[in-house]
Amino acid sequence: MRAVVFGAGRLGCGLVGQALHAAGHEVVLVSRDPATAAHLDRAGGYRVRLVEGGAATTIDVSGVTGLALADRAAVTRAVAEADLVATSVGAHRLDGVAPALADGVRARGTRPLDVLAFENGEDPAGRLAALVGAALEGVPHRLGVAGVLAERIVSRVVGDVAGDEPRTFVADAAPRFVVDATRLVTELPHLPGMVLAEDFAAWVARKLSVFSAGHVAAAYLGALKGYRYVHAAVRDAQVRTLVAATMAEGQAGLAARYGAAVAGGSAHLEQVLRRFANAGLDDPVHRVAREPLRKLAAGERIVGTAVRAAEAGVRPEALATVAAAALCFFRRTGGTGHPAEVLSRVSGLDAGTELGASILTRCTELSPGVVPGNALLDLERRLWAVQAAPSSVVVDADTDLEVAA
Amino acid sequence: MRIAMILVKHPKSRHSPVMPQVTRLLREWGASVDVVQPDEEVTDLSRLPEADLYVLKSGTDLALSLAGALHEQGATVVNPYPAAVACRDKVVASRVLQRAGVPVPETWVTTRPRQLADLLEGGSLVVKPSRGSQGRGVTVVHRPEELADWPEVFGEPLIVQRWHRPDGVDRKLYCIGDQVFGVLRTFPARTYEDKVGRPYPVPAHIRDIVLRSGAAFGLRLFGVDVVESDGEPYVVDFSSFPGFKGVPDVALRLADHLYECARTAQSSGPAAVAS
Repeated sequence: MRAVVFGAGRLGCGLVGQALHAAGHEVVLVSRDPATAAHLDRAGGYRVRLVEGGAATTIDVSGVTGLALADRAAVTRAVAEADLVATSVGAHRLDGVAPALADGVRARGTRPLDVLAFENGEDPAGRLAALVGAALEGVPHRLGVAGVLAERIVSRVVGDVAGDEPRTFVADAAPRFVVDATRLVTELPHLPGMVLAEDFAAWVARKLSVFSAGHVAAAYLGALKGYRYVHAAVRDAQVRTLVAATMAEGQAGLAARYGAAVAGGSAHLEQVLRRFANAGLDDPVHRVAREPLRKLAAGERIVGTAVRAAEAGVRPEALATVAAAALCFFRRTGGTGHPAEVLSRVSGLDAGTELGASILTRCTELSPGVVPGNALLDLERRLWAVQAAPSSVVVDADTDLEVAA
Repeated sequence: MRIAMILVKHPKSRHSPVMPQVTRLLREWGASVDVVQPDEEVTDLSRLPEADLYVLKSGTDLALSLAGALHEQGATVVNPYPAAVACRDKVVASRVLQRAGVPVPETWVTTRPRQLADLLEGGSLVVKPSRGSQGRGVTVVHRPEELADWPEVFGEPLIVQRWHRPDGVDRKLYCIGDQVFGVLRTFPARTYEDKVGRPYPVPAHIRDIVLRSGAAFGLRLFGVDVVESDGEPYVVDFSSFPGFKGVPDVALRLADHLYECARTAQSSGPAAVAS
């Protein structure tokens, strides 16, 4: 069996290629970077190092062929001959792979092909299907493009594509990836870790509302308290309690909408907390916390999850604190604008809503201490390591809230 | 990731849980941590443990010498040997701070304490051994006749500073990375709780003084004693890698910082690590 993976980055190699190789596929990795493709070809593959605390297992992924995306004829041939195709290029780069994929599908005639889209974002599989479909208009073909949700975190790559030695992708051990079974046109071979889901949307919501919400909670609260790594932040008792509360609020919203089985219980929360505590992932707080406005957007992991919890009758207090911490992070990393205006612009929440008021009140309490190099010593008492400057607080005329100037 | 801790063994009567906790956390996070206690064993100089990062927590002569040997062979040592040695000598340290514009009291050095009589006309003096630590041998001299008890020539260099009456309790300032922490401490400390003190939010101008003090030595792990007298702050002591007692979650914060130092040393080499 032969599989083509578009994208030779962290997830493409650290999960997709490894799972396909473990299932006996001959793996072709397509990279937009010719040097990466040449290196994979030269080294014959790479290694995946699965870590948990001090323990690690290294897996050799061998017999790999590297192809440059620009080598259109070879890529077309590989897709035409493949039993399965996957993408892991980043949702914003799907436009770049769609033409090559379409050429390959055209060459297959009506022989069916499934493409597994290991991408984040809003329905990337639908978008890729539309892009390829448009290129093949009027051409008979059978193509399924299914979204995939990967749980594994591939944190870093060790090695250099200029050398001859295989590179090593460092990841946590989570093997599971969930495939949207409703979009498939073939019967997929068994792949280790694969779950075929009919209710894919529920799985997406679960990841966003529990894992992703908890992950950014650890990052934003960890940043307030001055920690550098997520694994250190979740060792802080106050941060850990709030991260758990954040995820519990997420679960409450999920349970009301999709049922308790999808939401998961306390055992699931503990399992996720254990993953955050895994230092092998080397997750710096600032990397997880970047792009705070995107993460505060309506429907996203913080505000979207909070809205769903509120709809389920749970006051999203922990999520409101996380949102306030995200606004503080935005300001601390150079963001400007009145917090109420920023929140309203990115999430549609204003101070007139219960959730908006709750977030802005917490933001007001925290903002005066948010200066570079200042650590929050005690979240409950709002005790800062460095005295907050009183002059940095002003009262907003519209909301009567104290906000940072 | 390999880390070697150069530690001093405290007597059982001394409650000092921080470094064992730091070691435990770093091991939980997957680091291989060797504990070296050079004053407790015979160390083969050619078989020092290999490590990405050496953590110099002990200030004994032998620990410093070993850190110097490691420094010479290009190892990453936190805090670096040259700065640790400079901090240990209060004569050197005071001049480094003076030159950096840090407010330190007027300072003199001598081995002849009886010659301090004239200086007492300008106010009381604090006399301390230049290589003392933890308050050992610190004496406040108010009147010339108090100098009669001192020998003509003291056995080690003395550092003499103008004494400023403190406005309140002792202020211990600590720096871990770019973060400054303040602890108010009762003096003399009688219990472990007294030593731990309580955290207080540091005013911005004190934070600036603390950071300037650390920058003068190129250090990011250090402690500063500040006395405020008539509202004026004076830095009266500087220590490389102190115990950080009273800093909330101190073991976790230190482990987080050292993990980052070790990761940087591992991936980018010694030059990339600012202690």
